[in-house]
Order: sequence, then C-alpha cells, then structure tokens
Amino acid sequence: MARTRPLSPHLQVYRPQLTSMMSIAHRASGIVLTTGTVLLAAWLVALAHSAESYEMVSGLLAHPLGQFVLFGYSAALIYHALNGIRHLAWDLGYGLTIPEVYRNGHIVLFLTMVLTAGLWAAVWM
Amino acid sequence: MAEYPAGIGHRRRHSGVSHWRWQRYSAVLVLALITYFTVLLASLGGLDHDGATALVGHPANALALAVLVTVGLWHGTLGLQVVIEDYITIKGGRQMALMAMRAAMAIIGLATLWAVSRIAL
Repeated sequence: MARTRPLSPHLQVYRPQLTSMMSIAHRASGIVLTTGTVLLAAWLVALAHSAESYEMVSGLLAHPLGQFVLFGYSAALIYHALNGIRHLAWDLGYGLTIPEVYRNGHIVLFLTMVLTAGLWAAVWM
Repeated sequence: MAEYPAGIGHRRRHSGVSHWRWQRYSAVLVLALITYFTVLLASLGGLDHDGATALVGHPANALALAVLVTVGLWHGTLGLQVVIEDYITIKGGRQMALMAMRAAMAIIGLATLWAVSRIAL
C-alpha cells in the first residue's frame, strides 16, 4: 500500500486553489520547457547542417501550427520565469504570508499575460 | 546531528541540499541568459539562414547559447528528477525513468553543442 502512495498531493482528491494550481502549472510548464528544448536543438542542428534544412525547419515554425506551438512555448517560458522569481523570493524569505502569496500569485498571472502579449506584439511588428 | 539509519546518513543529506541549491543557482543563470536571447530574437523577428548563422556564429552569442543550453538542460534534469521521484512510485520504474530522462537530456544537449560549435567555429 505504501508503495503506491505518491510523495506529492493526490491531484485527483485535492480541492483546487490558486496556490496549488500555480504550483502544478509551474511543474507542467517546466516539463513543457525541458521537452521543448528538442525544438531549439532541431533548429540549431538544421542551421548547422544546410540552408535547405534550415528553410524547412523555418517553414514549419512559420506555419500557423508552428506559431501556435511557439506561442504556447513562450507563454510557458514567461510563466515559469515569473513564478520562478516568486519562488526565489520565497526562498529568501519574502512574500510568504497567505495574503502576500495570493497577491504575488495574481501579479505573476497578470504579468504572464501582459509580457506574452507584448512579446508577440514585438515579434509581429 | 540527527541519527540516520545505516546507508542513509551523510551522503543522502548532502545530495538533497546540493540538489536544492543547484536548482536555484542554475535558475538565476538561465533567467539572465533566456531574457537576453528572448529580447534579441523578438527584436529581430524572422531570421533567414545567413542572419541566423551570423547571430549564432557570433562568438559571444555562441558561448552564451552553449552555456544557456547546458545549464538550462541541467536545470530541467533536476526539475524532472523531482517530478519522477514524486509520481513514479515503483522502485525499478523510477530508476529506469530517471536514467531514460537523463539520457534524453544528454542527447539533446550534445546535439545542440555540436550544432553551435559547428556554426561558430
């Protein structure tokens, strides 16, 4: 019995709260970012290989579906970076009371939307 | 000093603390480098083959990119290790998942470093 019990909260019996959802999102975005490094590797290997390979990978990334993937990747990156700063602040002892945790959580979510929108506005302009 | 059962003691305690520390040191470095490259790429928009080669081939960028990918993948490896240890509860499966994950990270890292050095050198 002990063997099948996870160390972390049972996700399926845990009532959702901002704090737990943001914690799970931090992990999920981290998994996406680490896995997505394959895309960066593919882009660089194609660039090193030949102009034709590079054009092919660039074409895939420029396709609406490729842009959608890049958009998701950038949102995951910005969320993970901002929430990571929140975690580092906690590690230094700042922002740990319950009202502060909720407030800096909302700030992270708000800035994630603003910066992701700003990034894509900059890319498209 | 707490008493630990035989075989746990110092080694286990040390590796937990250093994992925690390196997760954070690597986070700070990755944060700085990823901000630099994100702003750089966003300011350039689309890149053709020559433009991308010049960008990655610039010695400072190539070095920064190599450091970013190496430290970033290491940060990811430490993070995925925690996820695997938390949710894969079968002993043998956990070790196998950890090994497969580390091997995959190493392959991605080596492919990237090969590409960057080929472009820059």
